[in-house]
Amino acid sequence: MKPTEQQAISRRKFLIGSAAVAAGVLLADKGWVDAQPFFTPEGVDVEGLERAGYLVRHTICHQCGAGCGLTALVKKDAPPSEENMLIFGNQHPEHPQRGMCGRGATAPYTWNSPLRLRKPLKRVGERGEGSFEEVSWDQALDEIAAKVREIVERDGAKAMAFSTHDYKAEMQLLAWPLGSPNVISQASTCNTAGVVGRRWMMGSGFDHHATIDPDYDNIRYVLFPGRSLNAPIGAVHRLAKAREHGAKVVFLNPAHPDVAFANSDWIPCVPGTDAAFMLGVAHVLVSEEKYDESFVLNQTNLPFLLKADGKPLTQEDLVADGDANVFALMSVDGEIVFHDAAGIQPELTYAGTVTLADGSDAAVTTAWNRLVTHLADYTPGNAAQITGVPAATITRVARDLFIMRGVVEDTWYNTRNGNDTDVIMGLMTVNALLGNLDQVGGLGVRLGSKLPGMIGRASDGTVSLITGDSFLMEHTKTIDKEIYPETNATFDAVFQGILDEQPYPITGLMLVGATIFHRDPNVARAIEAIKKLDLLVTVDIVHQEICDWSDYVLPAEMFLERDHIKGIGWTQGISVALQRKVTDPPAGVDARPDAWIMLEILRRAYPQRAAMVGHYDWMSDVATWKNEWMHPIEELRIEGLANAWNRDPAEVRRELEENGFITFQPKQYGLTPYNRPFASPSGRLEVYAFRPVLRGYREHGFATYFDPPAYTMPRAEDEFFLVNGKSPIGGSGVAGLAFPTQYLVDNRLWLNPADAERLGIAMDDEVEVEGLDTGWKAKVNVNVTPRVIAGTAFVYSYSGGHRQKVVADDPRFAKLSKGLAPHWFSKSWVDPITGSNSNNASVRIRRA
Amino acid sequence: MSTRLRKGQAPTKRMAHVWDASKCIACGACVMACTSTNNPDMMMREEKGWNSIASNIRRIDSVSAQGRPEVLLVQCQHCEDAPCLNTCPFGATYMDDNGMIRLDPRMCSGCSYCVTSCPYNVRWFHPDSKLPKKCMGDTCLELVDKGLQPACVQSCPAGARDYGDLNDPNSSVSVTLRTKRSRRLLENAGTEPKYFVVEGS
Repeated sequence: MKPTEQQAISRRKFLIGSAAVAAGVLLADKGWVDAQPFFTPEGVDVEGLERAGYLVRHTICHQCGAGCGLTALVKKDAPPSEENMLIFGNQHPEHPQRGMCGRGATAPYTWNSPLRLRKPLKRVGERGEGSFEEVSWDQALDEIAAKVREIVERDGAKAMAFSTHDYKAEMQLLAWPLGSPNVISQASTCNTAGVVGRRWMMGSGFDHHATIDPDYDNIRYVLFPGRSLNAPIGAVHRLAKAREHGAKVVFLNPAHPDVAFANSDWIPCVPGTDAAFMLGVAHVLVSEEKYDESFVLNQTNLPFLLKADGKPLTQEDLVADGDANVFALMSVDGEIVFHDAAGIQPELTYAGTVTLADGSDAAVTTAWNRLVTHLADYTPGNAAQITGVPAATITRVARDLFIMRGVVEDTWYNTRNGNDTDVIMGLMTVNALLGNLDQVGGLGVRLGSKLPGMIGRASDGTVSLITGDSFLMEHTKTIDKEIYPETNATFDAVFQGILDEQPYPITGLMLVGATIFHRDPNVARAIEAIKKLDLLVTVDIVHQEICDWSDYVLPAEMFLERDHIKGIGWTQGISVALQRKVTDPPAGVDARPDAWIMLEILRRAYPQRAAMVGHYDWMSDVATWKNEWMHPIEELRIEGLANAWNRDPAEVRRELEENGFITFQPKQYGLTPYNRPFASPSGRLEVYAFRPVLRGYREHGFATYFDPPAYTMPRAEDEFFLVNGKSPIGGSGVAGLAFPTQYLVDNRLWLNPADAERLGIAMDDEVEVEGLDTGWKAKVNVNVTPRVIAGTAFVYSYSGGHRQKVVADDPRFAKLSKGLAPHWFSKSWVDPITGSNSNNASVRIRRA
Repeated sequence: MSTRLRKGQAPTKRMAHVWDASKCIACGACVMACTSTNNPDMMMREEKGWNSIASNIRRIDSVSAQGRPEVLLVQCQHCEDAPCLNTCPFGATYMDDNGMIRLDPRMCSGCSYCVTSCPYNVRWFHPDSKLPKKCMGDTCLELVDKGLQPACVQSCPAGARDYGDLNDPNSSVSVTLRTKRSRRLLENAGTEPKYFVVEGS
């Protein structure tokens, strides 16, 4: 669509056809008769609506982290209530993530939920008891600030740690001026394995889980190893369209994902064996010569020469004063060439001897030759023994992937069994052999949006705000990176700091939207750590279980109540979306913005440090702060974005408000890595990952299968793998506590019929589950279903085992306390290099 | 506005639901949209009969004869020979000229004959009014009376739902049923349901 056409549609027709009329009728049914005439089959008259007293607000859903496009209609000058707003999916046909899924549909249930946090709470009983008194914001903030100051002055600033799912920048506003680098997200229990695997093979900038995604609009075959694809909804929608066009969709998973109901193949596999499956597929592709030779030769490092010790042959090895970062290949002419030269025609199968700069000879061989040898261990038969997937199925998947020019999706949540980085490396090995990167129907690489952040830090420790304020931080290395050199964020390091005081003590912890008990493995250990803290503050929307253990609980604004601009992930083009405030909080909810909460704690503890980030005592009033601090920063971000794309900021603002999003650049195929190299040491897709080899983390750079180290392997007939996954309805910290979740998400333990029969367990029987590593025991009802592979038990995460007092005390939410939280049973094994944690476990199951 | 048919009259339209199981991702959006659209007063209340939220759509998990996991979404089938209509002692349940099975609450005593006679078990009782509820709810009836799509069709992110006239050979439901393999539930019960399940491959 041309920009002018898009603009014409956007102003008047954000809804079109029957959807527009239907929305109008819905409005009329809600007593909004005046609004109905503005909804016609030709579109919606936004300006007319606004003249008549209605607001149209596009926003970004935040019921999970996917960030899909929603639209709300709100009555002007009316009190905030469910009756005065209507929320539905953004209907703009060009919106890359438009629509509302089951999680988004829980938003109206969350906004005024009985579980919504309404006032600041101060703990009055023992930790975990759930006894609080309501206190004023001033009292809560003053007391928290005094405690923070006490900790900083007694134990040092680094003793304060911070964690969040999505509000990292907001927490940095407090942590960095304090002098603590320790803002550590939940990544290690979500995406770390994938991030590290991608970084090792493609480099920084290509490692984020929302950067590389299948080109669903044109896909022919897609394999999802371990991903259920419940979100984002734009991807779900485009995948549905792809199915209509005949695309083959295959899920590899121990449990059957809900999305697989839709005309997809489900390949059940033994947990923790995906790497073996991928290497089995790679074996078939190589042995049957079903690979893209041009891609392998020119875009991967498989033709690069390796020495006998597994390290790459470099210019430094061959030439006096040579560069250690320049790698050697053998040309088809039989001459050594370096990878930064133009017009290389490499030999793929060379093996021989080269003379080094010191005059000695060294045996070298290509990475390809090493791969062929490596894959010899992963015949379909051998892979079948490991994975439980028939050899014929592995062979068929490999052939289908090649014949249909398919792709393997690179996953989102992947920290499960402790061997997960190799899964990502294995699937990217298959993608490298298929050579279907950045092509129509391939695995697309999304470029950055150029949207500037609110706060950032340079390598020299200089912290800068977009306003121009800046200061220097002394300590910049987070505690997790002192332990796990390759991690993007490992929160377990904070528990180590609390419990073992290593590498230094952590005594204070602040959480924003961090559901520790449903996020971090080994709940018993988490409780032990929390009990030892001097201060625990939780900021959230609804009363999570962690609130019961907190000294102070502060109510935060929900996405419907805030303005924010952010990039859109999991797309092919480059898009940015605007989250616009839809409504104030409901009556009785005194929620505040996360950033304001952080800045006010800072100001009350250290006013001069708050001034370093532009926050002063006259901003203690929230409305004043929004006008004088928040809105100018959002405007500066829009200005920076507009300047980066040579657009007028006012025009960008207007378009964002009118449509909810802007696509600055549609997908350009054939760019990465063909014309824009990866950021790996070689600039290529490194099937043989140089980085971990050169840094001494690994003996060789290939994906490898090894038994999951994260838990004791189940052996006896009543022992099982315990795996978990997210439901498309309650699969997030917030949606998991929504009223419909307890009815629409199965919180029973899934067992395969063969296992149930062997143990004498029938449908809905109660069983006792005991963690083999943690010893945690719990009772749960069983769903006997073929949706899980034999030998494995499954539960949905977030949707059961909520033990907070407010849930137990409210009969409307009693069902949320049933079921299991999988983290009761997982022991929190962390990979010593990648820092990737693991959510799966092994358990003993007996009839209760 | 649709009208009530008298005995022996045939509907002018035969409006039907099509649920495409080959597209449904079981996300529950239609189930929740049904509640928030038609029964917003029940958003935080349990429907005790089904032990679920107060939606006119029920999800049933099952397994195919080949052992494949399946999900089934069930709602009023708007049967052409509806047992609920035939058993209602007061004439409260009726068919309109769109072929839709509807309830006139003014004539309903809450005797529950319709609930027990439905072979699809898709009716439930509102705990306050004590009257039976089912698809379509009041708001969706307003929508379809105006020739629009009901809430479940609008909310589906996967395009798995449709609603249209079987008597119109060019309607989207007619085209779908002509071109894709489909089935009806309890085909042999003699109810002639107008809820079609498109099957996957």
